[in-house]
Amino acid sequence: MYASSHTRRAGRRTALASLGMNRGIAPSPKQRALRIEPLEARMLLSAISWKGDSGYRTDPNHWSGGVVPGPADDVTIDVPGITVTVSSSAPQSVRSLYSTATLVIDGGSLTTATNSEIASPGAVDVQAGSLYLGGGESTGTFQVAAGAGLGLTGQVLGPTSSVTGAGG
Amino acid sequence: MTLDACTVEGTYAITGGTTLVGRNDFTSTSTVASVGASLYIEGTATFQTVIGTGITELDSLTLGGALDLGSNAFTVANVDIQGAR
Repeated sequence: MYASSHTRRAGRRTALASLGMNRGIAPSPKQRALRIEPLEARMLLSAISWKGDSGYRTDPNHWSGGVVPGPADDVTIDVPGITVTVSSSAPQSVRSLYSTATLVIDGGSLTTATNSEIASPGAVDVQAGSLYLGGGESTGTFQVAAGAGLGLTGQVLGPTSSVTGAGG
Repeated sequence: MTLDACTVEGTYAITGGTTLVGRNDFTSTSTVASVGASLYIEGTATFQTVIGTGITELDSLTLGGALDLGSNAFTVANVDIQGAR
């Protein structure tokens, strides 16, 4: 239902009056004061890829840009045949992960926040600690030792994938 | 192991404990490979085929195919078998 033009005009006058801004009345200095609104926090996302042969995730020399990826980073490890080891007592996280390598978790935890893919011939071997993957589609394999943890949320594990092991 | 809202088209096998949270769909063979292994379902899981020896604890299980538990006992609170019984 639409308000009549009379009703709309009356409403506008009421609103202007409440602001002291009716025609002919200048706004007060207080009303003219500048308003400063804070900007929301921004997170700078970046794509980081693995360089070279096998190694530890925490070695900055293996990452493009020379910095170990963190929670805001999209990580690519597209080097089939190598092993990347996650070995830390502290929880580690990245935004997303694409890997064709063998990812060994032998301590601590690694969490991905969003779409991640373990692509064949890639594999995950959780020997200790835990791996948590967000959504995505994987064709690689997952092996989980007794006492270790694997958490998959919204993952599609394709026909060539497998999940085996005792788990925690 | 915990799976939440996953689709498993490959092979899924457990020898320890697994918790399924939310809806999970298994379109290939799932194997519970050792006595004492357990599969705990908090949401709904649809299995095409489950071959197991150690399932002891299920809240909800929907089967589109066969469930082979050998001679092992198990308890299911809610069962919906869509295929042959």
